[in-house]
Amino acid sequence: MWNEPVSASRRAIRAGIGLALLAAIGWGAADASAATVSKPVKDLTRAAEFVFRGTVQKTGAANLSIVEPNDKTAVVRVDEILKRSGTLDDFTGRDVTVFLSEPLRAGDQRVFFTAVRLLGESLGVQEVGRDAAPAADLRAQVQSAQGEIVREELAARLAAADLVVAGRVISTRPTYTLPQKGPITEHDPLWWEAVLEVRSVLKGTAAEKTVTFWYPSSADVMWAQVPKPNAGQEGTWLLHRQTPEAGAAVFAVADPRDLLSAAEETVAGTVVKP
Amino acid sequence: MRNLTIPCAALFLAAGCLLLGAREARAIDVCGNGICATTAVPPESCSTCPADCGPCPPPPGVVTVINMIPNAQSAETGQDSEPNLSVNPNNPLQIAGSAFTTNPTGATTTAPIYVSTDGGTTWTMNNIVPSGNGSTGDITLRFGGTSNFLYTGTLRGGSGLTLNILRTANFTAATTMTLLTSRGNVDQPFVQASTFAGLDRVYVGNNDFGAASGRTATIDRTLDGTAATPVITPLRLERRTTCSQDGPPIRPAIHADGTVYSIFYRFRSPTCTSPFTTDVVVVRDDNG
Repeated sequence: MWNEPVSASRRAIRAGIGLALLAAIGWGAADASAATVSKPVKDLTRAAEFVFRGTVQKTGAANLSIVEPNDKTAVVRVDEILKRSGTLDDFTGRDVTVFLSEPLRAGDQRVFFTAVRLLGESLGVQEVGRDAAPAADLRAQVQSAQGEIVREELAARLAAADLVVAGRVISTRPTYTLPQKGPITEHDPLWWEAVLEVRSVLKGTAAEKTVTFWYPSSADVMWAQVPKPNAGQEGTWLLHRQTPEAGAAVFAVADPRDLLSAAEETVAGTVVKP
Repeated sequence: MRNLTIPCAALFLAAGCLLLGAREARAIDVCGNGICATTAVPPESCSTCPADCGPCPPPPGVVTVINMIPNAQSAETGQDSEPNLSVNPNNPLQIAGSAFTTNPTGATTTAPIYVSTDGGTTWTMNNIVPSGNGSTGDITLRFGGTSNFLYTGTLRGGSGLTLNILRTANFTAATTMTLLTSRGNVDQPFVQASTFAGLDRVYVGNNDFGAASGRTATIDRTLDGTAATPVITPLRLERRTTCSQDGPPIRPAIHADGTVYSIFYRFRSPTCTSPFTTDVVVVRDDNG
């Protein structure tokens, strides 16, 4: 039986989401859970992929060879990272190029809310806005905002699912026999089905003690990140009614996030609407 | 007392030069100031100051291996498979690259290409390919001949077998690439482009499962890729009825005289099952 291990990048993303969720439910820093988040800071945090406290080293400069320096570019040292999305490296203590929304001077210190434009010798990041609050306040607000945003996004994913069910995978098997019908392409999902012994239902109804769902067993680029269940695996699955093959609708997973992480499982019960 | 006789003109000149602080003209010779001071003492060169003078070209017969993954992402562990490369014929220092690379910022609306402006010595990811999940299914790219436009064919990320043909006039800019055409049920877009009589001709080979009678080998072609709204026409390459389709790769090539060739697999009857009975077919268009 083919098994797709979770990649290191996905583990890194899940770890980051986990920390944000822990902060959201009050297991993080006390000041984070107590911080009142202003709407502008929350909007900035949502829009920014890279939020950091930094010190301007030089204006009219850049440390990316592809960038032509001008009066709106500056080299900024990253003193502290408040938000780091995706699989971005840790740039603490390193210089990055900032495309400024308004001019600054060398030595200025502030919190930068940025979108990542370029990844080269260093990062090239575009300011998406500013907030005048002190850095200590912004640190707490950004951390709280991240927790709120992660909860909101999790709630949206749960709302989009037709069935959210926790349990143990009993068995897996292919849904097709060879030779297969349909277009011949390397992007064929190679649908298998998994049988799940239901432990609890967070959303929807499961009439039986088991639920069957389809998943793409393919390692092709289109499907590589979609989780592949193994017999004996425990977990909470977001299932969607689909018609992967001509015929009756089935439950299926087709998104890398259709298996909740341990941190998400902890929070899911508080945000799901049955 | 003996009088020292010094030519007055020389004395005046020396005094004037000393007064002005001028010496014999010399270039500024601080490495890293952006000036390659070849007349400085000692002179700057590619070996002593590549920051100002650029990297030294390799000796003849020596191959230089460069990691295209930018330094900012040196710890990444993504799949990054099926790489594709295009050198700008109008400026060989400009090179564009693609691979199955996911946007490392976590954003889902764009996927990256790789760009170099120094002949491949340094690389930068530029997230400008439209996407639905931060990556693409398939992706290839080509510069036009003299236009500096970059054309890309993708299977849009998160949309299955949806062909996107895209372009940008500046591959280093942050602007998302422009969508020229989109069509579903298509596989393996492969781009070629060149300039003739001032116009970019763009050919995108693809396997179009929507074609009738299993004649799926297709090239999407425009004869003016830089027009405001290029007309892109799917041209069927397959002339005979197949078992149900042609093989996935359809690969065009452009000769400098404008002749266009393409090669593909025809899956022969009676059935499309492995192991396939296959013809290798080459077609040619003398008119482009």
